[in-house]
Amino acid sequence: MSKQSTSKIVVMFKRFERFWHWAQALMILFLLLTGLEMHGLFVLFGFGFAVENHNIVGFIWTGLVVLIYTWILTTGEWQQYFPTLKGVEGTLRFYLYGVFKGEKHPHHMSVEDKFNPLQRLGYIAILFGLLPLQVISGFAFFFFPELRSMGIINHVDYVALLHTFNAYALLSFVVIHLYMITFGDKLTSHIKAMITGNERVKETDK
Amino acid sequence: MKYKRLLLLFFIGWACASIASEKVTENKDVSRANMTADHSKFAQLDEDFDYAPDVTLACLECHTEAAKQVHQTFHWKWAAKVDGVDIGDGKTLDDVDVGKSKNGFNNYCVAARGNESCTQCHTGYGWRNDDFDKEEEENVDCLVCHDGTGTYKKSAQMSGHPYYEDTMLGGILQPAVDLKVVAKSVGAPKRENCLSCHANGGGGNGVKHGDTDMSLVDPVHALDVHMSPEKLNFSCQTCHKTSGHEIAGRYNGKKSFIDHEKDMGRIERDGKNVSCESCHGNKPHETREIDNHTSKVACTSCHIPEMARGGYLTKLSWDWSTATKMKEGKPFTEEKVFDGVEAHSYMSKKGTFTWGRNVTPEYRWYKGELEQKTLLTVIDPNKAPIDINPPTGNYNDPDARIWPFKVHRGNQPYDTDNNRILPIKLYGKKGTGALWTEYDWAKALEAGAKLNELDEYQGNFDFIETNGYWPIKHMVAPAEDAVQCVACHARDSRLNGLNDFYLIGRDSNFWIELFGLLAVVGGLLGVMGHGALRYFSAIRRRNQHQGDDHE
Repeated sequence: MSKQSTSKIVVMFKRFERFWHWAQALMILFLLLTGLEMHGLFVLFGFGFAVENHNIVGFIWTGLVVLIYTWILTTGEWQQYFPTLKGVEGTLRFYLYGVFKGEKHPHHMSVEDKFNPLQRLGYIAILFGLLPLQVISGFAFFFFPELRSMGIINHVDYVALLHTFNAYALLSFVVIHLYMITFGDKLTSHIKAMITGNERVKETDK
Repeated sequence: MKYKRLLLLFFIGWACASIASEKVTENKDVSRANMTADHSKFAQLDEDFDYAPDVTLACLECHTEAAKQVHQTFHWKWAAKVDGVDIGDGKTLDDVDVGKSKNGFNNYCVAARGNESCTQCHTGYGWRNDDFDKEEEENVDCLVCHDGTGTYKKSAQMSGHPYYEDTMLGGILQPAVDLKVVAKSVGAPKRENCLSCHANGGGGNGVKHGDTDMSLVDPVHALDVHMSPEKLNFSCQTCHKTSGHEIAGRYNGKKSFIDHEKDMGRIERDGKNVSCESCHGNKPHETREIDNHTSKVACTSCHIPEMARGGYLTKLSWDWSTATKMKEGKPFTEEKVFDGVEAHSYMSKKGTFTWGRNVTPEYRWYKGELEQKTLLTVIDPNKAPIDINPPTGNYNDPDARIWPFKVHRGNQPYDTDNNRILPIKLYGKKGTGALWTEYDWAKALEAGAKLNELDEYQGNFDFIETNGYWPIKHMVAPAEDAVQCVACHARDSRLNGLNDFYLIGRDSNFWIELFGLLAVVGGLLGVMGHGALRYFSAIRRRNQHQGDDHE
């Protein structure tokens, strides 16, 4: 038999996982556009519309983030995000050198181990660092009038700066993320997997 | 069948009633509604008056307390007690009379004292000089406020008396007043009564306030949603509540509002609280995002998008230092077009002006009071422009709001020995030193100082830049004309200069913007470079591979 027979197609991303990924993608895109408009970088929706809907979508996104966390914790998917330094060097070497020499990716994707060591580090930082920080600073922003009248914070500046910093970091992640999905077997295999859920993986000998 | 007819009848009746009641509100003259006395039927007023104080005496026959009440008001005294007047060397004076009558000044004609033509607008008769008897009841001018004919006009030459004879004034005939007709017409003051003085301060229509000119006599709805007869038809007193001739409003030493709550009929707030919130409350919008503004932004900041929206110009600057120039030995004037309207740009009498209409206001923190400097205040000439009456407050002050202001830029004479503003003697015959007769600054300032008891003045003067602050609160526009979000929430913000808080859309941090630029643009360039390398290295490998195959 040929070499191809050692690979098979599996459901890599479950239905809810795909849903939360795309819903979150759309919402973050909208939040970035409206947020950066409010920051005065461009005019797109109009300031009033941007403010009102940024707040509404922000609340919906917060609800989704809670669902995502629940899902990750209850399904045991949290193990996918457990950080390890083992293999980080190899992955880095691949992206900075090997890929130009036609080498194969050192990490083999499987249902139990979806992320390469670099992804684990990146996603844990984003999913459990950036996102909650953005949600919390967003809440502080939204409820600033109440917080001020309660005497908790008098100025919104640090909240605003943290929220802006996170937004830029998230936008930067989106840029790099969009490029990194081209590293599948084919340029489009990762994005196909996130739409259909199916990904071709190497058959493991057991 | 019967029921149907009854229903129809009922409906017709209801329709008629509603149409009728609508008519009533339409025609109602709010300021004069529901009077129980018809003054045209009073025998006391059916006299051939030839002297205005006689009319006052007739009024006082019934309104026994009226003159005493007027004597207590700012309209009469032209001064109020002010504490903490800075007289230099760290010393302050309390309980100082400050106003048009004494110690007060502005950057228009500077001071009224010594220029008794200014008393044309005093609610009295005959304030010619310091000998004027302020205790005399017949000296109160009832008619300027209560005239219902619109024919009663006060004369400058006669220090507030009406024109008893036909008089030519600047080529315009001022007809003699018929005091009998005027006396019989009296009633609650109408908009034109108040505006005859308040719109014309500073020497002409619209000159001073920026939000108070003759367009408010009969404003269209787009100009003033409250005062327009098209809808609410407010009189001045609807907001400036009156009681015993005391009128709610701001003046020296008095705030215009006590807080930002609804009055809800609480009597103790009457006359003290001239604020939008006294009727509208402080959460009047349907969206939380806009209501959030009200704790720091005054209603007026958004709802009065521009100053002088009534078509008339308002004066924006006045430079006295260029006055007294002559052309062929004669005083002259120059005109220019400002915002489509022609106005004086130079007068030998007064100096250089600029004017404007539909002007974007400037914004300052304000809590209903202005820190009025006086002719006794020692100024620091190194800190020009001198703020004559700066509003107070800042972001941390819970009573302060961001307010729109007309800031009138002046350049006016001051005493370089004592560092005090100098009043100018303007009107007068030859020999009085009057500037508008003799065109001699040294004489006019010496006379002005003398008449204002500034005896320390030794004749040394110069000109100094000053700012006069006029809070903007009239000419409230319809909601759809309110200031747009991005007028403030943008890099090019109306609030630039108010920097004691973080304003979304306007403010940013250099380092965070730099991080954003590097992270986003750097990321983009990084992946593009990486992608390009990947692409070309793949092509090279394929070519090599094909080359290998050929061998």
